[in-house]
Amino acid sequence: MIVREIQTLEEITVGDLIPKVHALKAEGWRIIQVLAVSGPEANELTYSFGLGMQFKLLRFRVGSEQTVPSITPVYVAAYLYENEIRDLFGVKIERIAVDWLGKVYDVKGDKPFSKVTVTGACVECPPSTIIQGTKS
Amino acid sequence: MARTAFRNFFTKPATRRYPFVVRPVFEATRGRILNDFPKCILCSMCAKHCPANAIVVDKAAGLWRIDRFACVICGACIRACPVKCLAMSNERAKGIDFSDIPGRTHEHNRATEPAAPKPAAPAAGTPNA
Amino acid sequence: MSAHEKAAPGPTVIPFGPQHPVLPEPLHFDLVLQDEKVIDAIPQIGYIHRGLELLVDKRDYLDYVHVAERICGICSFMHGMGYCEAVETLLGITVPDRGRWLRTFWCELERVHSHLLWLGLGADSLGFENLFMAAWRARETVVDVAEETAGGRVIFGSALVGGVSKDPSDETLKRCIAAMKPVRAETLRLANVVMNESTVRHRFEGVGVLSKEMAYALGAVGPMLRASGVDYDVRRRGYAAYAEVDFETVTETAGDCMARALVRVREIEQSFHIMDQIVATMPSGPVAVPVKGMPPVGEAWVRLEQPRGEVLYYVRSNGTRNLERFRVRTPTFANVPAMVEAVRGASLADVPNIILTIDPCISCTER
Repeated sequence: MIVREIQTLEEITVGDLIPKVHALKAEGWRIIQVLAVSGPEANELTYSFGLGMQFKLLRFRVGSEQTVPSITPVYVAAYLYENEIRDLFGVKIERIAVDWLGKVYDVKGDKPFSKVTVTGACVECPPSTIIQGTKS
Repeated sequence: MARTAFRNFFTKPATRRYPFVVRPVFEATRGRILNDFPKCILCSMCAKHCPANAIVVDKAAGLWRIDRFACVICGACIRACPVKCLAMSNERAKGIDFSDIPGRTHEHNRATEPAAPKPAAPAAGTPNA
Repeated sequence: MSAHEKAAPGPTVIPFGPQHPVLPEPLHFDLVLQDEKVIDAIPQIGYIHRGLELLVDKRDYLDYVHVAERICGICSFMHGMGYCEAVETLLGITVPDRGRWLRTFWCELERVHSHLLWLGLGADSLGFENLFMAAWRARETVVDVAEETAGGRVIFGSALVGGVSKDPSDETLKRCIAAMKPVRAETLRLANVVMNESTVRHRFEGVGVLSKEMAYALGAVGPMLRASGVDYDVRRRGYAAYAEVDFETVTETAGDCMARALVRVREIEQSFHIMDQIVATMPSGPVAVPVKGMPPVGEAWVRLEQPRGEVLYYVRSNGTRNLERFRVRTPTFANVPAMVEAVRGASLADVPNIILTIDPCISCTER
């Protein structure tokens, strides 16, 4: 019994995050991970959710001064990912349920994984590409 | 329970008496990296591809050196080698066997091991790598 | 109420780990206790962070597979293979059939060796030293087979972008399957011990219960989720050669330590079943396709099922030989919130068992 994996990517804005996550939770999706990719202008956050073999991604970009609401009120298990991203990338995530106050990893420097050089809000957010689906 | 205890009286021990009985290595075992140094052209591709930075190549000094303790025996250098002078041996490196490996690093030097004479170019003129 | 009870102190905080006899790897808990009962647990990781994800933009994308393999010592082949699958998806490469079959063989071999290792450690956490030694003695044959076919006992080192690097002959594989027959019988005997031995039952049954709803809501994966009754196995995605073999997803419903132990023990049997089919239907031909040139700009997500559960790989390329980002979300990372939930409400003496039954792999988690 082989189930084909379906990957979908949705570009959203920071403001849409919490309503979208609430809707996914109501549909029974589970949190898989939160990913941060650092670029010169902004950090890109991708939230992955799974339902059976379906795989959904929500993606938005945040500048160095913007804040992101924590999704731990909806998915409490996200606290590890959010703490890690805040430590390594310096993304300002607010009100994490289990807050380690920047002490997840004992690393050299403030935000070692961050490549953001531009300060301030992310003005232009070009869409990213995704390769649809994996080998069937 | 009693059966297991009884059986243990008549079975051989599961362990080996190590320094006296050594388990033979398999043909596929990744043991250590060997360099057929006369063939080596000191191009330092192996050093560039090494994930552990275990290989140091100095072309000017004619030196090729591998740190056996840093080497993770992945074989990336063997795949990268353009003249195929590197090979995997299934014998493991012995850390303090001075007869085989002088100490921690294993060094080849052009001063003591000259390069193999260039084979004469074939009549057809195909360049020999 | 007696005077003694009145004087009972409030909650006590007991630090657990990072050095603890039961933990193979550093993990810290602040256990908040009321008498002997754990009312809350605060996890702390971060003792062995190595920054391997950041190394991806310093290494050639074809060489990074050797780094990816070394994320973990137990799921080494699957980490290497997951990275390869992600890069292959990016490049649009199809691995030859024999390469896919061999990958499946090594994945299942790794699952057997990981589960036997866990059985030993789990038994050790109860102080059941005989079971620990019996499990590890059986595992010795499995790691020998790994060395004979792939070249390494725990770091297989045979994953390669485009296929696999070793090609054991069909005779070698048949001989290995025959050599593992006694392990299969021994596993059944050990499964019997786990199920019926009163010591194990006393320490495992009804301890660390995680309900189905809770396990799902906390994002638990692998045997942790399946022991709570959720039928979820990423092998059903049909990567490598899993589409061509027949296997059963092992689930239990109790959600306690016993259920998690039984899921693992029964999965060993399924893994042997898969390996038999793989060796019987092994196709001939090349094991790898040559990979040349730069990866295209883009990204790829790949999910695999490791012995500890679902693992997710992400690669993003900017068109150069160095990938821009590599991310691996390991199963233990996803299992930590569920582990905290399972520990809550248990007595202090049961905490080591419960932590061991999620099979924590902290080196994976921190990368």
